[in-house]
Amino acid sequence: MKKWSYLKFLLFFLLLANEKIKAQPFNLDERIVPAELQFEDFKKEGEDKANGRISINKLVQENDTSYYFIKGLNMYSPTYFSLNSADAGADITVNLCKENWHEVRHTGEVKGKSIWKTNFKTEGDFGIMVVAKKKPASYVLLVWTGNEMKVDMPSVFKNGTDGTGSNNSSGWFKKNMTVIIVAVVALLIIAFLLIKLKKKNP
Amino acid sequence: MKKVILILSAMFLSYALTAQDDDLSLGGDNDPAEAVNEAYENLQGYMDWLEERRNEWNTVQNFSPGECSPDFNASSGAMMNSTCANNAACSECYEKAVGELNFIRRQLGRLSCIYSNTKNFNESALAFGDNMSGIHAVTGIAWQNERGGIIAEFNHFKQTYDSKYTDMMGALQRALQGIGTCEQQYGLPDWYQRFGFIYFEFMKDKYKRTD
Repeated sequence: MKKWSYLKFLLFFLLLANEKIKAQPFNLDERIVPAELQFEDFKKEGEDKANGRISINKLVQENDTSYYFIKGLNMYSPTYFSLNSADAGADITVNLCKENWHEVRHTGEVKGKSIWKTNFKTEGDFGIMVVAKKKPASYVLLVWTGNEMKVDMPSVFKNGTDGTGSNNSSGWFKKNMTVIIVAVVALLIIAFLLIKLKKKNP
Repeated sequence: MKKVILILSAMFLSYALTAQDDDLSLGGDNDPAEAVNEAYENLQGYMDWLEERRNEWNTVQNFSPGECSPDFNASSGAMMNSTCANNAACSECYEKAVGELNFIRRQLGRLSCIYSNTKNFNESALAFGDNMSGIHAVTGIAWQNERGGIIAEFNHFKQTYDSKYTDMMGALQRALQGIGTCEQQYGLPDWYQRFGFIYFEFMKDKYKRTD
């Protein structure tokens, strides 16, 4: 497919992500104003696996609860989240939300110099609620999302091939080759023993 | 004049000292650089884990248990015959055409999930708003206005989906016709009419918005 077609689809999904009615957990409380975290390109020379986008934020929290959100995620890409503190007295609870701030989908605690991390895949955005029991709380909040992963798709062809003959062409045989070889060898041995036995006792 | 310069110098000095104090307060036992390094080290650990699973998208968990995951299965009646598997020249032609078909399948899966997630998000938002409006600072009337806005935006989103669905069906048809061209050269001359068309109709139905 031509390059412009890929770009057209990419652009469309970016626009669609922005069109989504609320790009953060739904909320009726006007006092809650989540701050948007920004992604920037992330590349490491010689490490393709690291390619993607990252948002790394050094934060100092003076209030009880802070709210953040991040958008632009792709369901075919892996996403990693971590919150850690270098403060020995840190006592932080972190909640990750999607629909609204009351429905917590992932939760963790950071007590002292420690880290809480999780990973997942999702489309669009998610919200981050950080509750600090001791203030001021200083921490580092990191979100990384990689490039799209390979998604295995079942064949749409009746013989189970993708038509290219490059894979699955002898899928069953390839998968069970060891079992088949062992079975054939076992049969040969049995046949050989039977013949020998017959010769001994004619 | 000297006095003004002196006052300005004093102001600058006091500002510089305050800024230095701020920097100092971040050092020592609570060193943000140490925390940043630790964050990067842990990310590296995740990347190593991921490297072993680069092609296993299914091993990565969904953010929410109910989140949409694309269903790429086709019913057996819609599956297509291919005469290409054992023909090297045809395989080469097929590789590009099937690559395009799979690309469209992925995008259709994603489009459908975005729709389904957005629909669920809106339904959840409306239910949440209906429940909370009575007990929250937002008055009933204000919520009713907001509710109307959410419904209107979702209706607009439906139109966007429909327009994109039409575009993608065009792209799917072109990809299937590409396979048909390969078959015409190396296998079944009327492949699209016999098999491609049935699959196209199946996909049209599968991704058509029904609400």
